[in-house]
Amino acid sequence: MLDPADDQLMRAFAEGDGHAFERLYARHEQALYRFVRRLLGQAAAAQVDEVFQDTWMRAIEARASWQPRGAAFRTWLFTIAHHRAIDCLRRSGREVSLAGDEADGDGEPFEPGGTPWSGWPAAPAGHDANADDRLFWRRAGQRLLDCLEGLPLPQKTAFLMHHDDGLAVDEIARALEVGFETAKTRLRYAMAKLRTCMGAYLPAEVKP
Amino acid sequence: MSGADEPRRDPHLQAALRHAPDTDVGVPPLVRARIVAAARRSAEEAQRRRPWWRRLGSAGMPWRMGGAGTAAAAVLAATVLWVGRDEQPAAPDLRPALPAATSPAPQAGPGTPASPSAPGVPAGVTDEGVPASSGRPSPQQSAPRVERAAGEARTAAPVPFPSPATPATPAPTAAEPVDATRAPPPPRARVPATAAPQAERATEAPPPPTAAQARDADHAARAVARQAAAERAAAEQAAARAARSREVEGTRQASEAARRLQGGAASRAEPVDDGAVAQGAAPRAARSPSGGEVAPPSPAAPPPPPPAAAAPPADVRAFEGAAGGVRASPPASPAPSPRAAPPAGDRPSALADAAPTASRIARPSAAASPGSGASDLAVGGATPAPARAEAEQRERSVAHPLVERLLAEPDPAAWRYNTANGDVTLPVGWWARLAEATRGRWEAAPAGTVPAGEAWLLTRPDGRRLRLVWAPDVVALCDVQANRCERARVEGPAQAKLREELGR
Repeated sequence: MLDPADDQLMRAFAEGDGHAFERLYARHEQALYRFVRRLLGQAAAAQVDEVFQDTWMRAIEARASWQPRGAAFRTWLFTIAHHRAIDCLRRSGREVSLAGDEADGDGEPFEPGGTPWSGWPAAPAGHDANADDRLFWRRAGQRLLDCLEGLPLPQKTAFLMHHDDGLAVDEIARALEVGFETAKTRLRYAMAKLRTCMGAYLPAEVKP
Repeated sequence: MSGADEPRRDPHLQAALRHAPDTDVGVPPLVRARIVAAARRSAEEAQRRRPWWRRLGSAGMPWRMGGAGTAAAAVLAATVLWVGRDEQPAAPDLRPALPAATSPAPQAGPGTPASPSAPGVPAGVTDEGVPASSGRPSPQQSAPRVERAAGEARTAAPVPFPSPATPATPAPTAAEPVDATRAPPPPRARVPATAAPQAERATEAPPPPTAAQARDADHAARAVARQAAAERAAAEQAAARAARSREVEGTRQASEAARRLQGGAASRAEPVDDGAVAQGAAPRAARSPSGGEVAPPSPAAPPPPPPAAAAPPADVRAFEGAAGGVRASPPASPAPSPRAAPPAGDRPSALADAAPTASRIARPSAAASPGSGASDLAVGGATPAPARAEAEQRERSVAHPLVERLLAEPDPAAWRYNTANGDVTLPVGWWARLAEATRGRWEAAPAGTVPAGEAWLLTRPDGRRLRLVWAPDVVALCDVQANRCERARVEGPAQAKLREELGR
């Protein structure tokens, strides 16, 4: 039997079915927690739990009025988390720019010449990598997290939604309440910066 | 549009993300427990609000299953009723034999049902006829069922037996009045509501008894009488407990009402509290005919006014009224002070050092300037009372140039704010309501003194940005470009109302 869709579960929850919410929660718990954690970064790591909990509380409060207005439940949930994260960062005294790509000018994002990742081992598909590869990719993951810290929030959000949570660009645009092109630009900037930061163009530095 | 244009995911970055060390970090169990508990509470609340037939249909199962379940329940109920009807003639057989064969309990009240006196029939039959309520459940456990049973009893007997003894009877005996009108003595607590129609049928056409039946009846009736006596004692104890708890409840209500009356909220509390004071515990019993213990689902007992943001709009309005009640007089003149702001040119100087002291300094000048204060007083009414004029002037004299200037703008609705569903324009009149709620309370908040709270960014097409901070009992408004803030005290309910209008 097919698992009910998020929308159905949310509707069932709105009608008083607590188990529907538990299924919904189990489905998105890990991804949302990771998203919030990475979005806030090291600087606001202490607020991760608060933002995560607040996001779900908002979803619970909004159960009666929730309507799938063209956006998937997941997109909606990530939108709330994004707003909560911005609020949290502002509360903690950080100036959060919502115009991530404007600061970089209106040209193309800078990318060095050459083929990226040419000196890197192939990315493992799933978890079937051997121990050495796993160790390598774990270190690469740590490096990527460090690189993410340097990205402006909008670009970071776009990248995480796209690469980690699998949202399409139009869903990202809807979640961030920006146009399609803006979302795409943010994503391209983010990817270019991350590749550079990771040393994708400098194979000798990165290769173990 | 999205498919071809969409940048491809970088497999290396994706792999790095997937293997990052933080993927192992899980949600703390406490956080999870809090969220799930909140969801359960919320779901239960939603359940309570829904009628029972909808609950049946969609309590976590697809509609078809709900329908099948309902149909099965209906068939089962019909079968039970049918079987009960077949067994009925046995009961009336014994009735005439009862007085002769048994030694009826001397204190047998008028509440005796017909069904327990079915000695010729196997013991199971009695229970079969009374599947749902033959036991004696604790009132708390069986609240909904008891309520339903009471409802059935009421439908069976349109006159709800208004004798003074009835209200004191505990829940499980709610159906007694029906039986009491027809049947002779003992067991009271045993009487289920569903037995009432059967009892009526049973008394309609009793066939003559036989000798064997009379003997069986003798044995059975003795057993029943013993059991009934025990159950009656238990029922009386339960009744006494219920009466005691109602007494305590009544006393508490009365004292609460008296306290509220003393507290000066007499005008609002009168209808409810008077009743509570005058009748004490009685209203509760009268409102819930099945007894005081059925309280959980019944909205009969009037709760104290809800103080939280979740209260219905009317209550919130009432609270807001109470919060704004500090004003000397209700705002008879529409939107008086916001428009009273002096020309924008004057403002920056006042803005620059709009410390609380500035309000006192500014007062004489505001009073003296004919362009601001006086003209507005004239607009406000033909001949405003001196006290009111003074109050208004005092309000206006408080230095809150940022807010004043904003409120004086021609189209405050051009402001937009972020929501989960996209950028939304501020509701029409929201600024005015903010002004109402904060009139006379704005004060400059130098950098660093804005309290921490939830911050929203308000934007306008011309690039102007404001930060609206919701802190406990305080609202702050900051001009992002000028880095200047003002704050006003807005108590919880009023603040909640303002936020609710924005859908946040």
